[in-house]
Amino acid sequence: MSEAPKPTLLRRLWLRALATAGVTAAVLLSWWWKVEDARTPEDAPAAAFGAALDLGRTAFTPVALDWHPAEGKLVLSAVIENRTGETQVAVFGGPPHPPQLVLDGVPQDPPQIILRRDDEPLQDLQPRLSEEIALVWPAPPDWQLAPVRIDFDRQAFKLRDNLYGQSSWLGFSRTARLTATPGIVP
Amino acid sequence: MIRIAPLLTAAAAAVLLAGMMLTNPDYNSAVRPFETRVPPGETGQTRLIGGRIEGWRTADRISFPAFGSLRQRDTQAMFLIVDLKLFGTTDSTMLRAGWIGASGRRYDTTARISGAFLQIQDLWLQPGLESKAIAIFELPEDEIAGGALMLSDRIDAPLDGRLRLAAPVDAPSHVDHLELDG
Repeated sequence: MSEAPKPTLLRRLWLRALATAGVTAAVLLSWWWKVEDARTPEDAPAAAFGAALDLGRTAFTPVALDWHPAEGKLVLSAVIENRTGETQVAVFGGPPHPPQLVLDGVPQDPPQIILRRDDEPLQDLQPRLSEEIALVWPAPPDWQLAPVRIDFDRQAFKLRDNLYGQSSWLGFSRTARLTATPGIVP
Repeated sequence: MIRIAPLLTAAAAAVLLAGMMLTNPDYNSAVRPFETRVPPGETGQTRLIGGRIEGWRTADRISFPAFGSLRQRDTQAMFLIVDLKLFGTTDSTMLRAGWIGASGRRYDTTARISGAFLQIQDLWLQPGLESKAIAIFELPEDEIAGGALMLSDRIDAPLDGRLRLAAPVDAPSHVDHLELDG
């Protein structure tokens, strides 16, 4: 009985190269899927009145959008709740990224944030206490009632961030977009 | 046999490294102020500050004078007012107070009563002088019992001192409406 022929060096190399390429392709593919999952969607999902949005430190629920023509201001009423375990001064993250009003494609200045309970600026938010707030934007003098857009940003939190395992608040990403026509408040 | 030795060494190193990674305290636990726990009614002291809880009470509403008019604040939860006696040790110090609730959450003194007299966040504590102060918190009622007052200098720097004053044994007195001086 003759001995089985030994595979040639070329054949052995070819098989090993094929196996290595397969493993490499699998690793690269799974890595790319993770990158795809982490990428910010170009079109933020639509927000709706009454539905809570996760803004990182807070949960923000838009309630109503009103246009006050006599005072020339747009008011977004909302309920906000601190989702962290400590009093928050930076309710819209740090540096602050409050909801951004866009009128006719032009982003407006940050709103004034009013605590309804006191009718004064919101200074801090205590854990487990949801509060009614109003976001007030002065509208440009020539602005006419039309659908408006409000963009919401979310700040990412990482429990163990760096070499030292320090928890950190990181960058912002667009989390939702509200498009609505304001109701008129005489 | 020649090949097994390095493999065993590598495996042992991997196990050791994994053990170190799993038992390594995170940054927030390792780098923080040194906490001095103070039993109810007793006085505690750190490098810069010392003090004790003199009493505590709760209220549904608080009114206080500010800029010549009377302001009133209500809450969906409860106001907790802690009366303190404090002293400085070596340097003039501004303070920060927080209530560690029964759930472990931290409630800082509320900014909604700005203008009322003797509030701890407005106090400059001087060395060798005793001062009275109040700390006002806004929090759910179930966070009060079993909580503690955390007292530190304003910066609350890591590796410096911090006092954790246990809540008094007796339940706090309650009033519907508390009037504070301005």
